[in-house]
Amino acid sequence: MISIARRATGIVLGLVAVTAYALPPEPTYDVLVPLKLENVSLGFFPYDAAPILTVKSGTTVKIDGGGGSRWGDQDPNGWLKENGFTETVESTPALAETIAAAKTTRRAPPAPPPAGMAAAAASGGGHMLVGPIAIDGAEPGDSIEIRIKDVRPRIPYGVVSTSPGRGGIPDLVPRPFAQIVRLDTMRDVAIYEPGVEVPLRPFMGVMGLQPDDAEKPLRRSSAPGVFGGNLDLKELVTGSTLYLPVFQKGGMFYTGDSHAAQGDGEVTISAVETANSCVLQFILHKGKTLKNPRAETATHFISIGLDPDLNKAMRQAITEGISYIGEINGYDFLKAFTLASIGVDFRVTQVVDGTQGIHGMIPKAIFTTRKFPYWYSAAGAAKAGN
Amino acid sequence: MKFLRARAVASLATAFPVADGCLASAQNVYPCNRSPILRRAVMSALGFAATALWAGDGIPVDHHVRLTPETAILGHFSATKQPVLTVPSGAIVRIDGGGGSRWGDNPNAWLRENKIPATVETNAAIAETVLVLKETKHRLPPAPPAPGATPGPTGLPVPTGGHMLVGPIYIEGAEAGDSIEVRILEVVPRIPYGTVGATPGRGALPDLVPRPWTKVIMLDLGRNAGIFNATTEVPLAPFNGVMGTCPPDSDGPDRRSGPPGIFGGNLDCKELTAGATLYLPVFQKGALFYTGDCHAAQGDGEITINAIETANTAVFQFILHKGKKLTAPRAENATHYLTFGLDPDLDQAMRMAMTETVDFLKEKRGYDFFEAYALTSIAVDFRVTQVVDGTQGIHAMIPKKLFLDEPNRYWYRPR
Repeated sequence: MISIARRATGIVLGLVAVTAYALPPEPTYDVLVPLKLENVSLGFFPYDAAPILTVKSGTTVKIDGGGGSRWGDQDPNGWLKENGFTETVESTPALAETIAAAKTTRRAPPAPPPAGMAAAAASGGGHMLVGPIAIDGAEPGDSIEIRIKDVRPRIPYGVVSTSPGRGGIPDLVPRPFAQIVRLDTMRDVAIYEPGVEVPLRPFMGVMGLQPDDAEKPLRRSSAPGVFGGNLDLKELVTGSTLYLPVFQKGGMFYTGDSHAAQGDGEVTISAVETANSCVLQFILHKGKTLKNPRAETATHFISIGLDPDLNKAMRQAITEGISYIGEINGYDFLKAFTLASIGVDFRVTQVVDGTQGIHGMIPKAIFTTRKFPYWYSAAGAAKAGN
Repeated sequence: MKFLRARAVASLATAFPVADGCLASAQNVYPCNRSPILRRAVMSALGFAATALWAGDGIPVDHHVRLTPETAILGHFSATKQPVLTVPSGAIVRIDGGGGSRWGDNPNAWLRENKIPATVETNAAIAETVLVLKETKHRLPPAPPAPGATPGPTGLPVPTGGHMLVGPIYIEGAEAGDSIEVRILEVVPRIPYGTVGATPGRGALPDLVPRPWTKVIMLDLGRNAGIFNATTEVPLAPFNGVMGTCPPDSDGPDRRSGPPGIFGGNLDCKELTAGATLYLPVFQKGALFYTGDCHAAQGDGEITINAIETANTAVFQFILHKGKKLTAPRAENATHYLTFGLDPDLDQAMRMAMTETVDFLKEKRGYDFFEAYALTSIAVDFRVTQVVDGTQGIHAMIPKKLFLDEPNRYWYRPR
């Protein structure tokens, strides 16, 4: 357990930054959680893990995530060179840390192969998760607000891939496929191929609290749940807020699955998979019980529906949206339902994680007489670097 | 604001020749001659003052199809109804739609009660809607009540039959296997209000609606706002929920307009506002285009089964693409290409939207399956069109700005 460290700045880390950024400067934070063997688990939320850090409500933590290790059995430096990168493992801390952390024994056993597929000779694993971080005083029935102060890639590339038996159209994928996507952080784009560029929108696919005991003994990280987890919600970029219900003492927060950009749906089961660092502020709300995760941006409230059946995920996103509108503006069921029919947009979060997701985008602007104080504005961020 | 924008659309439509459409090629576009100034003069002479206020008439059109018991059809598509208009490819047609008829037996009393500054006598759209509901012969027997629905106060079947549609419009030379491009030049409400409601047994939460409920939404076209109440407003983005060619014979005669299909129909896609283009496959000689189900604004999902239901006038340009086969509707606007997935099961609708998107990117970019699928995963947004029409919809938004190497020659650009 580590108590709150003295207020660090990004200066020291800035010296070893891999690439230059057009992004605002990284915000200040209280504690840095580095990516190392002792801080990670692969592919599951271990129930027996002691917190790697305990913080008070209000603490801002920088978390270094891993990713990008697509070299398989090849020598990483050889793979990097082959793919046209001048970077090496030695010159890129995120890659060196990812390699070291991947040696953890805290890994999920190999998942059963998709129906009809042969079992791969996998050593187990999955999402590289950092955590758990305990929030002082959090108990079941509370909720935790996570302000996403910053998310940015630590490596100059990401990979988008697909494989037979997985993703949104598993039966149509004839063989595994992976494509490297270069990240141009100066121009804020991911270069898919010459002439085709995707705007960078980095976010963490997994942000969640330790699931309920009912999910014991092994809760894999692949499917999201009421505790959050692998939501793969592309709105959770810098400037967004995620609200999660607490199921265990201390909340026990995990994050990972670094994405540089993703479409709503995440159809192949892969975003631009990279290694991000993120700066998150944790705020405890005592006694504020949540049924489902919720989110908020400068412009929208976001309701979330989760179910293996997309029809039911949609239904849940609607009922959650109605409750959310009721809480925001005091509307009864019929008012909230009809307002949502004409003013709320329902989008497909992802259809590939076993439990599928729909999210409802509730525009703040429709409540014309209301002011919703919010901690982030894009204009303010550009100016203050926060 | 609205009128200025509508005029901008009109002038751009004239400025960009039809051959610049994303599916168009010079040899299969049939241009037409028109005398817009004359048409416009005639329209102004005929127009009621109130109609002019709400409908605008800024766009020069070749034809104006008014809402009458003969041009209208309720709740279904007919392959045998006499075309209300026959046009060559390239023709620009204004179509007046109906709606807003939540008044029961006495429209003026209902309008007064809801403080709507319009009467049957002063608003042509209301008068036409009343007349159509009373007199049109183009209607089916009422649908059986939804399970769990409570019968109306009288217990008698309501003598209406669903969407108020106008059509068909016959496009010369169109045959099965062709497709038509429908450029949406203008969509403007003709009445100063719309309604949104919820009914037990219908919509996305049929079991949770305790009683029928209707709310009047005043439309402020000046501020482009649908006024839900004094503290809540929704931005207006008018579009017609139903735009379709006549369905194939395999759908049976007099196909109901509730569920959308590969012919389009009740797509309820909120992106199909002025400045958008819809591409539809042709199944019947002349294509036989129908439109209706006027919306002033809608959320993706249309969850109660209602948008802001109103009466729009819409201006479309029809462009025939000979031999350009489509397996599903597609659409386009200034910023995105759209593909659609349609199925009673939302999972299957999503699957169709994914495969449609992969196919579109293969055609558009010459990609193989993997290149198209991978780009889709990182850059294409899938949204819920609607979950309430029996056949549910997902649409994919493919940003044009991904493709730096493709000049954007689209006919409409917002200012």
